[in-house]
Amino acid sequence: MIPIFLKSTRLYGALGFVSWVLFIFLEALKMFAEVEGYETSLWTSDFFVNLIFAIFCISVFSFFKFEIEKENYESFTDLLWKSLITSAVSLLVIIITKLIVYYTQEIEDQSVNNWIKNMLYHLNITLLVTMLCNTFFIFKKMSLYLKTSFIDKFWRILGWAISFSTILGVFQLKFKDTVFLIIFSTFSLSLIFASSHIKWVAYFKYKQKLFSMINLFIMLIISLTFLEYFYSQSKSVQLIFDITNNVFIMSLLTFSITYPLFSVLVLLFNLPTSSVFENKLDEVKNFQRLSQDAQSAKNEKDIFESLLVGCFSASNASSSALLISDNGHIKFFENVGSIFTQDDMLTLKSILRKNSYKPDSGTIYLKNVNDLKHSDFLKKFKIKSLLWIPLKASNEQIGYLLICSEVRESFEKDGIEIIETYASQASVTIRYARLIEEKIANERYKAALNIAEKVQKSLLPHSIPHNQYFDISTFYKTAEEVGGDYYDYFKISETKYTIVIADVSGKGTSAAFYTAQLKGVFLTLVNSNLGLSEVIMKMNDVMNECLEKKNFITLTMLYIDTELRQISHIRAGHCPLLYYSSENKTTEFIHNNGFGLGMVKRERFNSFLEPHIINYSSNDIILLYTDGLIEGKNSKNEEFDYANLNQSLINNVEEDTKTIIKHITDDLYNFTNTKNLQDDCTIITIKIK
Amino acid sequence: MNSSVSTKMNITSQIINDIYQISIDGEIDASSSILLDEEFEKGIASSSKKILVDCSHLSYISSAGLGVFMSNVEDCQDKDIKFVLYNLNIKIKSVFDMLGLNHLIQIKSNKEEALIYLNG
Repeated sequence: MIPIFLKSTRLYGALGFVSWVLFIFLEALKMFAEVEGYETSLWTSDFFVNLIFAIFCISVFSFFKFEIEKENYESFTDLLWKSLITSAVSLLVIIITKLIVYYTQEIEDQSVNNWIKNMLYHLNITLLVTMLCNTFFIFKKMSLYLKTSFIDKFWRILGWAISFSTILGVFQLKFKDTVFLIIFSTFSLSLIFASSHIKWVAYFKYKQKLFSMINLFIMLIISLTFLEYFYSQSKSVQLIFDITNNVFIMSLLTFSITYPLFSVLVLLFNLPTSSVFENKLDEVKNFQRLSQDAQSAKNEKDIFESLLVGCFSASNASSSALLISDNGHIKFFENVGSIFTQDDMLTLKSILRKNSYKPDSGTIYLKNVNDLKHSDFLKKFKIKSLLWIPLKASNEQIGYLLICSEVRESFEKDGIEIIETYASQASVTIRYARLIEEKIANERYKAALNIAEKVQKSLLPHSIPHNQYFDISTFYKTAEEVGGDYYDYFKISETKYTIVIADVSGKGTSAAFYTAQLKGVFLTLVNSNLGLSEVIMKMNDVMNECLEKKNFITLTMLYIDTELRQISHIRAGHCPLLYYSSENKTTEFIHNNGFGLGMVKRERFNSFLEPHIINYSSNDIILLYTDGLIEGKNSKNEEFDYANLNQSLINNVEEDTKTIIKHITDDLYNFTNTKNLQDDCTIITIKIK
Repeated sequence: MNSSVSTKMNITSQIINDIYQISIDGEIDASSSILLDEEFEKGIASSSKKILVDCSHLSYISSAGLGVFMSNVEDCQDKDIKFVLYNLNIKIKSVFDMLGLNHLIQIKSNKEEALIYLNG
C-alpha cells in the first residue's frame, strides 16, 4: 500500500514547481555558460539537469494521477471539457511562441536568437508535459470504462512502466538508439492497444457523441500541433535539450494522438446508429420502471401509463391506446395525441371478429389495414398498420393494447416481441396490484366480521343459571363467523321462566342482523305480562314488518311454571321439541301446529297456532335444537336426523344436562366425521330436578 | 326448454299444455335458491296460470330455498295462479310440514294427482 502522504497532490504540485524552477534556472545557466565559453560545472552537467527534469516529469505525472483519480466526475463530457481547456491553453501558448519566434528572426545576434528560442522551447516543454499527463489520465479513465480484470491489470503495469521511464531520460538516450526504439515501440503498441477500449461510446446519446467527437478532434489537432512544433524545433534549432529523445514524453504524446484518433473514428461510425442504441436504453429503463411499479404496488393508472410510454417508444407508432376491464368496468387510457376513443376500440374489436381474427386470444398484426373487410371505419384515422395485443395474466383477461402506425408494415418482429414483453409484464404487474388490493379488502372484511361475531355472542345470555327446579345447559356454534341461530331466557319470577330458541332462514350476516332484532322484540314482549301465545303473535306482527319477503324465522318458546310443574310451549315452524318422560321411559318429538314468523299474515298465523302443555315430573328432559343438528351430513350425504338424535338422548338420560349435550355433539361429530358444521347449530337441554 | 345449472342443482322448465312445468334436480341451498326464484318469476310472468313443480329429484332444501317457495306462493295467490308440487321425498316433505308449508302450498304425491288439482 502507498502511504497517504504519497497520494497528496499538494506534495507533487510543490515538488513539480520547485523542480521546474530549478530546471529552467539550470538550463538558462547552462546556455549562458555555453555562450560565454565557460566550463560546465556539476550543476550544469547534462546528468544533473536531466535528473531534475525527470523529477519534474514524475511529479506532474503523479499530480495528475491522484488529481484525476480522486475526483468523481459526473460524466465523461465533463472530463473531456477539462482536458480540452488544458490543451487549448497549451495551444494558445504555442501560437504565441511561434509569433514571438517569427518576430525575433530579425535579431542579428545568432546566440541571443538561439537563447530566446531555447527558453521558449523549455517553457513549451513544461506545458507539453502538463498537458500530456492530464490527457493521459483522462483517456486512461475513459479506456477503463466497463473494464475487465485483464485491462485493469494491463493499465496498472503500463502506468508503473511509464512512470519509471522518466528515469531513462537521465541516461541521455538518443531517439535512434536501439534501446530507445525497443522501449518506445513497446509502449506505443501497448498504448495503441489501450486506445481500442472505447466502450463508453455506446452509452453516449447522439448529442453527447457529437460533442465528444468535436472535442476529441480539437485535442487531436492540438497534439499534432505540439508534435509538429517539437519536431521542427529539433530539426532547425541548435537545442540544448531535445525532448524527442525522451521516451516518457514521446510515449505520452503517441497516446494523446492515438486515443482521440481512435475515439473520433469510432464516434463517427457510431453516430448514424446511435438512435437505435438510445431506443434500446430507453426500453431497458422503461422495463425497469414497470418492474419498479410492480414492487411498489402503484395504482393501475401509473402502470398503464408506463406501459403506453414503453410501447410507444419501442416502436415507431403514431398512437397507442389501452382498453382495460376491471370487475366489469371498462377503463380507457390513451397516449398523448391519440386519435382513438373507447368506443372506437370496441368497434375495432368487433371488426377484427368479423374478419375472423380472435381479438381475445393472441397478438394480431395487421400489416395493411386496407386488407380488412369493413375497414371503412378506420379510414378517418389515417392509420396503415396496427398491432392488437390482448393483456392476460393467469388466464384472466385484463384488457387490450392497440398500437397504430401511419406507415404500412411498420412493426418488425423484434419490436413486436418487445411490445409483447411489455404487455405481459404490465399484465402481471396489474394482476399483482389487484391481488394486493383484494387482500386488503378481505382483511378489512374479516376484521368487520370479527366485530360482528363478538357483537352477536354478546346478544346471547352469558350463562343460564341453574336453579332449584331444573338443570339447564346450552350449546351454540355457527358455521360462519356469524349465524342465524338465537336463544335466550327470561326469569319472570322465582318460579316462572321463559326460554326461546330461534333460527332465522338463510345464514351469515343477513341472518345475524335479524337475530339482533329478534332479541329486542323478545325482551320487550316477554316483560309485558302477556300470555305465551300473545307474545308469539305479537312477535309475528312485528317481524312480518321487518323481514324481507323471502325470510322467515322459526322459533320455539317455553314457559316453565315450576309451581304447577308445567311447561307450555309453542312451536312456530321450528324443529319439534324432544321430550323424555322419566315415568314412561319414552321419548317423543312434539309436532304441535304453527307457522314460522313472517310466513303468513296475522290471522292465518294466529289461528294456526297450537300451544302444547307438558306436565312434567322429576328427571324429565326437554331438548330444544335447531336444524343444524339434525341436518349434519356425513360423507355419504346422509343426515344425522331425528332418529340419531333420539338415540343419542336415550343413551344419556341418566346424565346431567352438560354431559348430555357433550355426548350429543360427540355423536354428531362422529357421524359427520368433522368438527366443522355445515349450518349453525344450537342445543338447549333442560332436566327437571 | 330452459335450463340453469349451479354446482349442486340443475333446474329445467318448459310449458306443456299451458302448464308451466319446473323440475328440480339436486340440492337447493342459499346460492341455488336464486336460480329457483328466477324460474318461478318466469313462470308467474308467463301467460300460463298453472305452475307444476316436479320435486322427485330434489334431495335437500335449505331454509333459503323454503323462503323462495313461501314468497312465491303468496305471489301466485295474488295473481290467481294455481301452484302445485309433487313427488317430494319423505325428508323434504317433513321439512315442509315442520314449517307448516303443507298448509300453504298444494303438495301432491304424484304427477297425476297434481294435474287433477291443476285442471280441476
